[in-house]
Amino acid sequence: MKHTPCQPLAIRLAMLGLLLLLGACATTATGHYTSASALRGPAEHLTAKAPPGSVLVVIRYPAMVDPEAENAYEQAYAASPIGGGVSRQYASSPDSAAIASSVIVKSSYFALSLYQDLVKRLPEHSVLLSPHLVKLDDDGALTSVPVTRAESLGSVLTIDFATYSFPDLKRMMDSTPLTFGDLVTPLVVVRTDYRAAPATDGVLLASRPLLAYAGGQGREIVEHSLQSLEAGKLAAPPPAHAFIAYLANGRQAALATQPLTQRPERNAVQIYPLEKIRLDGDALRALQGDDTGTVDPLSGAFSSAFADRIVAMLNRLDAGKAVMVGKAAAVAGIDPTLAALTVAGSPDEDYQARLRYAERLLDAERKYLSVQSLRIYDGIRNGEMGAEVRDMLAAEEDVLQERRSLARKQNAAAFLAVLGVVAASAISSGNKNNSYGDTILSNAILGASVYAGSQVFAYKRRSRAVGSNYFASIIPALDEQTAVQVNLIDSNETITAIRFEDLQAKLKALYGKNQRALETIATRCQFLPLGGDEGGAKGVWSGVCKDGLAAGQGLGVLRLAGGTSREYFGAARNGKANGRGYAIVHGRNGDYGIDGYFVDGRAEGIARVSRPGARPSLRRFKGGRDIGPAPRDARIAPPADAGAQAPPVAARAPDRANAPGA
Amino acid sequence: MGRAMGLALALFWLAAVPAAAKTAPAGSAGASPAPVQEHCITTLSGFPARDTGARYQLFRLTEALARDATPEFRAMLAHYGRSRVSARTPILEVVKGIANPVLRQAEPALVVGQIAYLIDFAKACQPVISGQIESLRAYDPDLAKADFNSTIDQDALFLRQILADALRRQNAHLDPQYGASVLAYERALVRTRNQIEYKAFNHDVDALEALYMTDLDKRLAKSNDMANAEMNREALSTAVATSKDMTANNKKQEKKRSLVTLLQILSGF
Repeated sequence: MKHTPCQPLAIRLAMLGLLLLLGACATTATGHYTSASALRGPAEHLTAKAPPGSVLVVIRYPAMVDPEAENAYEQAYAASPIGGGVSRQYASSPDSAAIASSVIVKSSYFALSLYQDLVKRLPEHSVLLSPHLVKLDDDGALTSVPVTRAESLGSVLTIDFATYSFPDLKRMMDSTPLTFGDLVTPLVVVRTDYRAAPATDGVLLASRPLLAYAGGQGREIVEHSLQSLEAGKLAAPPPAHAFIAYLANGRQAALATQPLTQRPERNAVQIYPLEKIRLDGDALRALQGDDTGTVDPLSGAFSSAFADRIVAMLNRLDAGKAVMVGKAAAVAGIDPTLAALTVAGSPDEDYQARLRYAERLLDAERKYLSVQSLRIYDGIRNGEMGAEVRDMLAAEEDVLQERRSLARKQNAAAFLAVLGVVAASAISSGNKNNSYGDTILSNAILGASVYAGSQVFAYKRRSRAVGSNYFASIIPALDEQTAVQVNLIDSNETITAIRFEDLQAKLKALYGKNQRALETIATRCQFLPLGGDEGGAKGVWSGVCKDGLAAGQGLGVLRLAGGTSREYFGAARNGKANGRGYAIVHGRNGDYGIDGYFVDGRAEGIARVSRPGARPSLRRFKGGRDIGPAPRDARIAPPADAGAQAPPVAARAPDRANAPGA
Repeated sequence: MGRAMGLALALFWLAAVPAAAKTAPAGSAGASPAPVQEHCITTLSGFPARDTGARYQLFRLTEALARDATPEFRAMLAHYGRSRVSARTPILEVVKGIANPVLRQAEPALVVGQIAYLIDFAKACQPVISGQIESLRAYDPDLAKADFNSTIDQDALFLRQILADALRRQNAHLDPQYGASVLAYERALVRTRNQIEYKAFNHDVDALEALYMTDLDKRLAKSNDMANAEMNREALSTAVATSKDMTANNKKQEKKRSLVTLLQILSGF
């Protein structure tokens, strides 16, 4: 071998290759060991209580895909990646379809981890599972519906849970979100009824990618609920699962936000960052011999801390407001004349007696549905299906470890290649009159560098092949897994529904046998504007009526001329809000709530006001006008008491724009 | 009921009842404890002695009858009642007298008087009655059964309803002095009625609930087993093995490729 003029060219080419090699360095998909949700706040004991006839938490997760919606789901999955872009040609690849299927299987499995951790913390029969069926709606758009009746009862919180994997297999080892082997990327949206959190339309916490869609769904929930109330119906259809709404590219809306915090003080949605959680290695290894489902690797990494966060949220929520309409809707199924009265309650003995009966029936239903949830948990987690998911996780872990090992080798080869190029160029440029020995050495190093470079790409190809082979082979097993899950949940629901109808019929018969005539019943009539001077306003009242006007306990909905609307829950007289009540103003600049006393439709006295982005605060109202902050240690009070609580100094200028009657 | 029984009760009274509780019945204010004891002992002697069920029933009935009877209400009973009952009258006779439909129609004041007698007895001898109820329950645990006690509560409610009707017949509810206590008693009666009815309803729902939950649990467990039996875990093992084979093949091919590359590099220099 002799010194040729080609040598500097080779070195230049090698230098070019160096840049390519640097780009070929692999990441090892490491993830975090602890979920961000665990980072703040100690665990709290539950102090909240579910109002009778309602549950504390419903966990919703995508559990099955309707055959007619499979293509739409897979395409939407590939077309809406989280954490990066995907080429259009990849959208129809079998790998992407397999990942979309695996997400359903994993979401169903890991949702049970959260269920288990919540069941440990909350009272018996107060957590329900609501598996969702992904399907096409009447317009052919992707949506999801609950398979069971878990969402038919009032619930203080609902958690939309899913796990996520980036749809492009080639980027599996990058920083893209992944649920594979020891890595899990949870997606969550936590909601309450918007009456308990009007400033955020009920959204309390959301994964960042789902936030805008959760906001859009919140708006839709408000609109559907208002339409239902106007039509005299208390029950509104449950929204699609938040992740499916995201895939369907549903409506979006902005909401006030804040970072994760254990003690949120403002009316803003907590943002849960997108994170790739690494499961506990010991727990994962223990999975391999676990046929009983006792090992839960997600618990320590996510579910336990997240369940603590849910307990903290429950402790800070007004459970009564959260379930008042949901519970009334459930009561309507038993006793329509009583339903609307339950939103505001009444001291009448006959009402109290009847309510107790209705609540007992709802409690029986709640316990019955809880048995169904426990059996879904048991069937999936502790049966062969759960064992197969655990086998799958173990196999994925092997795949991931192999790919990590290949990535490390790839990186080592890239390092050697770069080192070789640097050394060769140093030898050739260090001395203009290279000796023959230097040339040989330089060429040998360069050759080794080129070989190392070729190995970089070889390892990369092998790594991709490992992932691709796994997904290509696993598809039949995934299909089987999905089919068995569908079968299990379907037959579970069929059995439960048949017996549930039977139970409901018997319970209703018992109820009917025991009831006396109710002196005051809920009907529908006119509800007049809160302020009384709103032209074009149309109001509907469900509750106690007299002479065609609201007169007693109930709920009212008002549509105003400017496209805004109001809701009112409480006491009324002469068609207007009069007495203790709770108004929600659905304004153009966001929604807010006023909890206090009303006189002829106007807020009076000291009321609690909840506005977007602000802390809930006690304000003084006069004639519907906000006349300033209430004194320290004040409480919600009617005008007479509020006068006694008024501060000695002059309050700030009246804020007419904020007045509910304005 | 012989003297022996009366003596035993007297001894029980002295042993079990705190001195402070030995007060006189309404209308006998200022009476010393001794006449109260005597009154209780004499009245208790009118209770059935051998049939523990009947005895328990009457104690519970008497106790339930006195519920919601405030001092104002008892003063009103004294005003509207007319009593022919003496401490020697067997208690069963008093109860029968109250339930007598003819008497209820014709002599509401008499009915009021009879019930007032029972209420006075229940109030004055409350510790003795409670002690008797506890002892009888300890002696025969069947007496604590919910169904049996629910029936007693319903009987007491029936008697209290008779009292409320008897007072209405005498327009006691319109009395400026006593009307309010009559209305309050009527409201309390509605509440008690609701509670009793709800208790029975709750009992029925409990039974239905237990039946359906157990049944559902069994059926779902069976259905889970059937669904899980369809699961073929070998399919996953096969898939994983296939994947490993494919990966091994890839490795072989890559090794071959590397060898060729190495040879090309070596031959190039």
